[in-house]
Amino acid sequence: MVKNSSFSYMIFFVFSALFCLGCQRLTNEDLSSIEPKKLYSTENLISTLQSNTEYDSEEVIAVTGIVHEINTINKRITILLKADKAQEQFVICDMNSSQTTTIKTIKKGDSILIKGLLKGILKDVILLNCVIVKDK
Amino acid sequence: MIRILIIFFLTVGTIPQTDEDNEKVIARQGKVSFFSYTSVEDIKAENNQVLSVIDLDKKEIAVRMLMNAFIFEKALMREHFNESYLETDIYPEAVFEGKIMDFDSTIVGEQTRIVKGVFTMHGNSEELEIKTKILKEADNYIVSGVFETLVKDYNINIPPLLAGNIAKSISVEFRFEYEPYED
Repeated sequence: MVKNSSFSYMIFFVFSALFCLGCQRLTNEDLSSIEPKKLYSTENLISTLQSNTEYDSEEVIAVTGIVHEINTINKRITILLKADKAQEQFVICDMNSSQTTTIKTIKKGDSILIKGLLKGILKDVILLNCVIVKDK
Repeated sequence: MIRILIIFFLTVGTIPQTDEDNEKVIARQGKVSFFSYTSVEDIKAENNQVLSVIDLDKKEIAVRMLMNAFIFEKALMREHFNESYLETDIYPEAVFEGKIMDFDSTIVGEQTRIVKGVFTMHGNSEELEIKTKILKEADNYIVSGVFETLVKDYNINIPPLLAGNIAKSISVEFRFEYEPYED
C-alpha cells in the first residue's frame, strides 16, 4: 500500500513536470523567438488587468509604451513603462539578462516595444524575463 | 476680518486628517527572498516586484506580492511551488498588514523597530512580529530584515515523498526602497 502510494506520487510529479515544462521554461528563457499572444499599449494593458480578474497570466505578451525609468534596484535591470493618462501606474518590465547591451541604447522618454511573461497586477502590471523588440 | 481669519484657521486646524492627507511612501520593486535548507537540497527563490506602502503618519505598513512572480533556480522547484504547494492560481497574492512600533519617521539614519502585523498566504493568516531595520536618507526610506516562519502555519500540503526536501522553518529576507507617494 505504501509502495503504491509512493509510486503514485512519483507518477504524478513526472507527469506534472512534463506537462508544465513548456510554461516553466519561459521564466528563464530568452523570449526573442516566441510569438506574443497579444499586443497591448501600456494604457490598455493596465486597464485590461484592472477590470478583469481573468487575463493572460503566464503568457508572453508584447506592450508598447514610453520609458519612464530604467533602474537596477535589487541588482536587476528594470524598465518602467508609463501610460499617457494613468501617471501613477506603470508596467514594470524585469529584463532578461541578455538585454544588458540593448538597454544601453534606451533612455527615458523613448517609445519602445517590449515582450515579456505576464505575471499579473498589483498597483503596476508585472512582466518578467522581458526583451526589447524595437525602439521606435 | 481678523476674527474671521482666526475662526477659519481654528476650523481648518480641527478638521480631522483623512487617509488622503497622510504622508505616504511607496516601494514598487521590493525584494522578498525565501530559503529552505535541508540535507537533501537547498531551495532559494526571490520576488523583485513586491509592492509596499507605508503611511508615515499612522505608522502603518502594507505589503502585497504576486506569488507566481518568484524566480527559482530550477523550473521544477517553481512548478511544485506554484502548482502543488502554494496553489497560486487559487491564492495569487500574499499580503502583510501591520504597524511599525515606536516608529519615528523624522529620524534621519538608522532605527531598528518591531513590525507587528498579520501575514496572509495560501488563505491562512498568521500574526508576526518582525525585527526591522529602517534607514532614512532625505525623503527615502530603506526597510529590511529577516525572519523565520513555519510551513505548517500556512496549511501547505507537502507529499510525504518530498517532505525531506523542504525545511519545516523557512527563512524570509526582505528589502524595500521607498520613495514619496501621492495616492
